[in-house]
Amino acid sequence: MRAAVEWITSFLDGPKPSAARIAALLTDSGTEIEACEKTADGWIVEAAITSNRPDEFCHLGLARDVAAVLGRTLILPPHTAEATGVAVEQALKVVVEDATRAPRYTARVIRGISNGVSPEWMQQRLLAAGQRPINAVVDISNYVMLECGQPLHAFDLDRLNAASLNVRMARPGEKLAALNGRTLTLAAEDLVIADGLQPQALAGVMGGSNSEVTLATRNIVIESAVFAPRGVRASARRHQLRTESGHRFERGVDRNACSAAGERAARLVLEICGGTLAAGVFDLGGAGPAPAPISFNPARVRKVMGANVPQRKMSTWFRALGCSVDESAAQWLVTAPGWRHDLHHEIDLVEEVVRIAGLERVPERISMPLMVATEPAVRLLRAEVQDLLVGLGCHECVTPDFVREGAEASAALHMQAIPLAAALPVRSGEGVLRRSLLPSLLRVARHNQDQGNGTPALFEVSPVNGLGPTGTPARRQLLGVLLACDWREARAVLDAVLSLRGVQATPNAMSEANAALDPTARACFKSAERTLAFLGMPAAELCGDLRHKALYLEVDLEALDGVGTAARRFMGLPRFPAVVRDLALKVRDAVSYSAVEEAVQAAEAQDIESLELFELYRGASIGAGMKSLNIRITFRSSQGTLTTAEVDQRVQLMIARIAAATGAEVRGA
Amino acid sequence: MDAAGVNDPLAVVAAAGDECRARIRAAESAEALASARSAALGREGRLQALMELLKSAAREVRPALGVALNALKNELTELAAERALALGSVASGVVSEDITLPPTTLSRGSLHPLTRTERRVVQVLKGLGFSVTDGPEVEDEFHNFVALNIPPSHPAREPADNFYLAGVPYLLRSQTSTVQIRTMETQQLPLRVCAPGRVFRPDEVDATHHYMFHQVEGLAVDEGLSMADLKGTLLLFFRGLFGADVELRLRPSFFPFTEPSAEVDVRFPGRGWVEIGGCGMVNPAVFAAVGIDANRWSGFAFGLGLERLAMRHCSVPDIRHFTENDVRFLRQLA
Repeated sequence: MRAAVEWITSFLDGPKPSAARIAALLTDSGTEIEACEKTADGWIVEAAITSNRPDEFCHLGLARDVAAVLGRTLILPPHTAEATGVAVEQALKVVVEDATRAPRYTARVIRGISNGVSPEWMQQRLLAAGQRPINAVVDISNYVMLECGQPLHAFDLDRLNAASLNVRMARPGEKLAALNGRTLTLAAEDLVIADGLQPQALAGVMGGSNSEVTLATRNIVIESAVFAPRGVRASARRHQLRTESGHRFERGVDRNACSAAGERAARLVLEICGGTLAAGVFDLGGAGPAPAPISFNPARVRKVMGANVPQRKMSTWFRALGCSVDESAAQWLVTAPGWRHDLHHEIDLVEEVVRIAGLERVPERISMPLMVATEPAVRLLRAEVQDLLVGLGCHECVTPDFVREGAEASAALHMQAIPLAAALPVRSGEGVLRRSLLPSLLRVARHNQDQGNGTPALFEVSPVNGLGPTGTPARRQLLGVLLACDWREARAVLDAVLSLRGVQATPNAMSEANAALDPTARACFKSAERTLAFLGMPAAELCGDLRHKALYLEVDLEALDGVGTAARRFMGLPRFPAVVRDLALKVRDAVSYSAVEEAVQAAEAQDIESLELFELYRGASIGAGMKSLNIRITFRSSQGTLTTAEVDQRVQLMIARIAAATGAEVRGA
Repeated sequence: MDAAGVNDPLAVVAAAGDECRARIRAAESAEALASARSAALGREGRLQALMELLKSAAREVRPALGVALNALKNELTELAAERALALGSVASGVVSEDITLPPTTLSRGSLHPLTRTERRVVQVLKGLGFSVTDGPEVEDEFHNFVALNIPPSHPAREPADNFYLAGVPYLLRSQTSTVQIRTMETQQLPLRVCAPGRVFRPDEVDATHHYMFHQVEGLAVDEGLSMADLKGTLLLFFRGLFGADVELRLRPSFFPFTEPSAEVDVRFPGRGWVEIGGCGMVNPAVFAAVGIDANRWSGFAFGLGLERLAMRHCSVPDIRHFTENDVRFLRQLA
């Protein structure tokens, strides 16, 4: 809220504090002043008012906090108006049909006014507070709202059909020509102020142009009412109307002070525009129930704040803020004023003391005992994975969870739960929660391609979410890696990740139905019956205009952590030397490497330390449909040094076995 | 051989040494050095000539003379090598490394700046005894609102201000404070936890707003905690994060789940205050929602946004860089 400093200080007795002082005081007591500047209309402050303090949406409210901090007396403006006219019931008829939506409705009538421009002092304050002067009556209603926070509305009595007001729900499709020039089509949920014929105002939000007060207006109705916050908020949203009045009703106004504000406006009208105030007031609903006193133990302040505040100061502050205080017992009884909807419990009063005393009074003193800090195992694995992949040259990405309906939303590997979608998507069609990190990483890859950044290796570690079979949320902690490399290199990355938990996994065929990875290049990797990872070429549908061939790797980090362990045990160093033999195999393309591996392992496997494929070759020199596999076998015994004869014998056996199992043509090297 | 030399061979060695040293030091080119070296240490050199003195010297002088000659030889050899290094040639015939050649490129990866920021924050908090904990992004209204003292009529629950999920009673959490509730529901007291994670609010995306961003939440529940503990903890936390000369200021504010609540500002020497997060004492209503006796236990909580921290720390002007993941951006902040 924009407030005029001169207006705030006009409510304080004694010397007037400077604008800067006001700004600092308000900020330090919980009302952040975002700007304090001198304008053509005087010094102003921009106050960011928290949602619990609607009472500060007026100059008097801001002044009250300043007075409490400074220990000054608040000077309230006079609000009584002398009624010399006929009884108000003779001039107007008021009915409230929906008391839930309009808990209190007051109306006063003034006849015979002479509306003109408002006085200069009023115009200057309005301008400083950001309100454009219109005419005296309208300015007065705005002025009183900015003064005490109660929104008011003035109707031209002569333009109300049957001189009546009915606070009722709108009939669906009913029209209201609003003050801003728009014609609103009302809904059944809109509360309106209607005359005998039609709606004249959207309650609490905006008046209608039919009964607008103009310079020609002679007789007026001053409405001062309380409308239920939710109803006002819904109507304001429905019709996309942001108004000062709606803003205040949405946050709540003081039901007890509602009539006094109407009278204050009437007084100003009589002063400025003349006329005669009808005797009496329509007051439907009346003041609310008296607020219950709050039991307050002053000793609680020290416990919460960690600092001493004298009890005498506490009671002075409570009174300055408008509370009544009964200090006769150790347990005080404090009753909040009608404008403070946020004071219900002892802790609310403690907060008042803390903010008026100032947080700089709180010492920085730790009384907490030492505690050991732990971290979930999967988070530790996550950090290890991040460091490993960065070391391997991959770039970590952070991407939003939303993907597009269709192929992106369908992409799922580890997470097969039902996809969830935002009721209001961020962009049309883009509101589904991803179940795989693949679509997100492909987007990043395309961005980098379009920027001419080449084909960087990318990864992301993130949870994905869906809906589990029991209708409760399902969540998986995933690692996704998008690589521009061949299958064997991608497997090396996978092995490096799995080895963080000492796990080895074997490739298995994937389910036919999976649409995320291309059927010609994909596998799932299992260990101890659990699926730990998927590796494969992303389906063309997902790749879009990605020009390079990519491989995607997805690891379920919780599964990996569950299967493996971070613990390591030293196995000793070998005592005897190794013997290395290379074999060159010429084999049909269709023969898998695992067939060769099995044949090797089957033959005298006990002393084979390792088996390594060091070259894979396809080409004209070895013929179509064939491939050459060059493997290196390391033999080592734990019992003694292997002799050449022993190794030769095993290699011969092995060659025969491989040839029989795979039809390979084998040459020893 | 002059008479003095015969009489005092050590003086002769000393004089010759001075001469050789001066010549080596004075060499300004490889050639000049080679000739100085050869004149001193070569087969026909000065040192070789001095060796002849040994033969003619008196028996009692010979050991001292031998030591002096050896020392001089070693010294001159080293001096020549040093001079050679200084002249940029180790020895004749050896080409030295061109130390100005540029490095080749290693394929180095990069940790995302938000991960770096999160690690820094978590590291400091762990040092203060805050265990790290995790909570779900898909939440129910109880954990996101009700237990956090945000009543049904509260504007924060408006459909337009939250990512409610279609067809299910869940929404994407709008703050990591939900983890406070989950922790208090399940963990033994006293407790001290921090919860980094993603949060979601349907804000228009611009240079400073995104619908998905990251927060870190801290929570301590113990007997006898007051705002002094909160303030003391925050001061240590920000000193750990930013250095010992950072200043802390709390400003009263409002959050439904803490009371009293405050905004947290920090200031570096010579700079202005910067708002960095929110904090407060756990609202007794929150304790009531999770069945904790507020007469016995008290607690404090604080939260801050990781993007804002990373943006300030790394001079990133636009929040969208974080989710765009342009590798040129990532490499610069690696």
